[in-house]
Amino acid sequence: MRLASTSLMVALSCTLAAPVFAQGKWPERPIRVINPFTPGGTSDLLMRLSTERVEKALGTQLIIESRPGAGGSIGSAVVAQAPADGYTLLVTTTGPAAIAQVLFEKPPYDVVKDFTYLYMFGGAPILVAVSAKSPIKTIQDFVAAAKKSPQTFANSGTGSVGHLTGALFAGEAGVRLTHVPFKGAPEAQASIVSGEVVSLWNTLGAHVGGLKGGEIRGIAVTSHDRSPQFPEIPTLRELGFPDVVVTNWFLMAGPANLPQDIVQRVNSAFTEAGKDPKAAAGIAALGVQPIPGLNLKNYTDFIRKEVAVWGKVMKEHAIKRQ
Amino acid sequence: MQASHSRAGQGLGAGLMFICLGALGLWFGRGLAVGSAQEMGPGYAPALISWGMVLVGAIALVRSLLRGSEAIEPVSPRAVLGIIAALGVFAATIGSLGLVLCSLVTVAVACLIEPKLRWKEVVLLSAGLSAAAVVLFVWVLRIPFRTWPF
Amino acid sequence: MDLIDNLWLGFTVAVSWVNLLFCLVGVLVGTLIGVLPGLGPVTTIAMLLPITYYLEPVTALIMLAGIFYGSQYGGSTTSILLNMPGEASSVVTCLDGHQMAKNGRAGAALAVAAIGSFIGGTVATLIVAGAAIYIADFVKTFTSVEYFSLMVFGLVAAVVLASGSVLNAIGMVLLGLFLGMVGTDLSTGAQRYVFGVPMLADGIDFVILATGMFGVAEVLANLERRIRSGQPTAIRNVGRAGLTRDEWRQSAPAIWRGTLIGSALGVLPGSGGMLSAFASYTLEKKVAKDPSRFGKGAIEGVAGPESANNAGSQTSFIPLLTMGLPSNATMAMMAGAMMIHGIVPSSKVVTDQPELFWGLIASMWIGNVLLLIINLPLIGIWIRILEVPYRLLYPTVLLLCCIGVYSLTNSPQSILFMLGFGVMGWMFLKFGCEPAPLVLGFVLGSRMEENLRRAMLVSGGDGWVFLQRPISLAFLVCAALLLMLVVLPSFSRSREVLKEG
Repeated sequence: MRLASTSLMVALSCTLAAPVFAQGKWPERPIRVINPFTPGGTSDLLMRLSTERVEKALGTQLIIESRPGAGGSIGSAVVAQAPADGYTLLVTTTGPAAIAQVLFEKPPYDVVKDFTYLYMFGGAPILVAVSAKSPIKTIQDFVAAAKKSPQTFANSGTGSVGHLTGALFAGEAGVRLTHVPFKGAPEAQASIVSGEVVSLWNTLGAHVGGLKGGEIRGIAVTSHDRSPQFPEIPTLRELGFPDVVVTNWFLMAGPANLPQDIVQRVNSAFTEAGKDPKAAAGIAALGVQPIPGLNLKNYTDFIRKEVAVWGKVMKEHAIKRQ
Repeated sequence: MQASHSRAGQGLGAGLMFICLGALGLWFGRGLAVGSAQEMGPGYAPALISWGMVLVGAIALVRSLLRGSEAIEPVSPRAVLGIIAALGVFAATIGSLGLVLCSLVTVAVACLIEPKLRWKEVVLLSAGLSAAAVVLFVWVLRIPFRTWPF
Repeated sequence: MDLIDNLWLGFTVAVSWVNLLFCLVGVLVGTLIGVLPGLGPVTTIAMLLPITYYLEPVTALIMLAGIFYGSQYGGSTTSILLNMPGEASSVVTCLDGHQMAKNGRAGAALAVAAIGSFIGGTVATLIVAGAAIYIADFVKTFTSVEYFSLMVFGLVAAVVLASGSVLNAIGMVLLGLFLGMVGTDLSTGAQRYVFGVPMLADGIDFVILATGMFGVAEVLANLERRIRSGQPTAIRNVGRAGLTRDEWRQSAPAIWRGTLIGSALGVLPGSGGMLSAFASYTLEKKVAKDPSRFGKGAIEGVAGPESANNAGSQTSFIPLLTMGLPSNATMAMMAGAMMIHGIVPSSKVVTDQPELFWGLIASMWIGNVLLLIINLPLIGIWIRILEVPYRLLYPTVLLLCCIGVYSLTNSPQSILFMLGFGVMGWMFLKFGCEPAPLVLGFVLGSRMEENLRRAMLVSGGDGWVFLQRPISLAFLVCAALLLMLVVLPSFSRSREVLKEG
């Protein structure tokens, strides 16, 4: 029996190893991709949709590792400190890659200097949702309730886009909202379903299942136009909050000074993966839309600009540093 | 079980240990913001728990002084130092010597703790385990260990 | 009946040759990694995820699920034979399982673990099939208030299960909670007790802590005893593999109680599986006529927790399959496997993908049958390990601990941490403190803090909320009752009498 199990393991390992050890120098072993949120969040889903094609293109395995906490900055710090050998990559978002820089008193890394940016998946709106059982049906109901007493809002953690979007909205609507951070999207969604937290302000992608399953009710999105997946959910812009137009973008990154050939290969592997019809459909279903005009040369400029945008939001709405 | 009773027994040791651990927790956590009950800082829970440990330790200490407790079993320096040496050797050599030689040396050192050595057995055991380690971890499970120093 | 139709559909899916084969592969691989320290189901599933691209979604999930419960089972084998828990949930099995092995009843301990796991798994599978949706609805109402109170209850259970002094057990729980907070604070990102050591920034790794405090400390204590007594290798009596009639009589009710507890607590996100093993052990100790047998090789102390543990691992699929919420790291990997195939885990899976849902459930039962068939004959081989003279066994155990821990981190530093925890565990034994409550505190530490923080934030700093919500209140009342039972003078006096008697 033991023999049988051993030979099975060997057989398994061989199938595993088959796509590995294909091309020249890099990559000669599996690549670790840190996802700084809990599994089941939008960043995790995006990675899983692309992994298969990327693995084929690079000839090695991608191992997605979840390192949640502090709005994604804990996992991002791991990559910032990793050796620039191409074996530790990061899937990052607006929160850890721009907001962290301006929100934290002592940011654990410099978003411009400590990373090499590799590929832009695109941007997705923030979804504003409540429990399906909630008496709140529209954003006006929500504002009315918040005018009476401060309402709570849940999202993927301190410094995530959802956090600042909620704060931005509170400023625009002139209400007080209490921020309740979670480690990731599934936990945040569970908290509004249980009734513990009143509203959810988080990136759309991870909550598609909840919306379709009827557990949560979307009352607004923060994109410029309505989302093609959920045309029935209005935008905050059309609801009278023209300044609350927010996109959470998703980027592949690595430690600073990543060798140029690795940068090129990762970029083209993901670009190819994005063209695969199955993957593209999946990515679109998460509400992630391409952001035009971005390429390897101007990713870092884009980050600089975003840091400035969020710095301004913080200042104008007097959001206190953490 | 006829355990001897002593004032300097297990209870005293446990009491002192918890007090020390609690105090260390408080000392090294002094820089962490405590915050308020509504908005707890990173230092809130550690401080609470550290005080708890000090309290538990203090009660254990007083109780053992009043009532005594079971005696502490004597320490065998040979066993303690032997384990430290064996694991220390593993930690020191796994990176440079590779799995084969490292396992060989570690097992040999571990065997030295035994009071009645049988040299033949030591040689056979370390060679056998070293080979088994390579087969199981490197060949079957494909964990990327360095196998040889070169 | 609907349920029978659905189960029939499930079995027609699960008994196809391909699915049976991958179910077998899953439980075999799971058993193997459960026996080895270090490699856990999460790592293994991560390694195997890529090959699931090439499988049907059902087949992939069947295999991955097999790895999960196979590893739970394998972990109990090393706990019983070598006092080395591979996973948090098998810590409890060490307490009496290893004592049974020392008393020459290793065969019985392994057999009862296998049978208990099987019964626990079978009943829990039926529960998943019949009540998954209703249970999920109930758990959906849990907020951080309920979770916090539940964890308080779990910690009290851990205090009660310790065989030594209650005070020491409380101290160990506190120390465990404290160690669980080392690392980066998840809410604020502040570094706590890291001392500039990068390995600590992520918190202390469970495997390193458990391998040190149980595996290494046990070897150290044994060697000390051998050196002091100067005895040559004591030849151990490995005993028969089967159970005596008395052992059957004692374990049968324990298995049923464990199954019920495990099925109920397994549903809860987080540490349900481990909490259920602890709770079952506590219950067995409470209902036993002679609680002093516990910690010295009581068969109920293996039968109950093992059934609970396995029942819990089956029901932990409920939140994932019915709400799309992964309740632990392994379930998160399963969610990943589903998403690879374009299935978003949500409440829609049952209606949209009935053959996937019911096929997986049916395969869980088949996997449990396979585990029983594989493991009962293997018991005879496993207990031979105890016939190996200790002078050959302990270097093997030490090397296994080292390689296992090193394979996790690839850092020699982790070996030194394991050594440190080993020496700590040995010191605890010297001072009459049991490490099991520490482990539970350690695993719950940061979760408990997170839920406490959130509950207080939402309630505006009002601590009464823990008593105002009925489910939370129920947990706290149970915890208080349990604690009172141990602390009240009449009870503790009878404990002491039993100890001396």
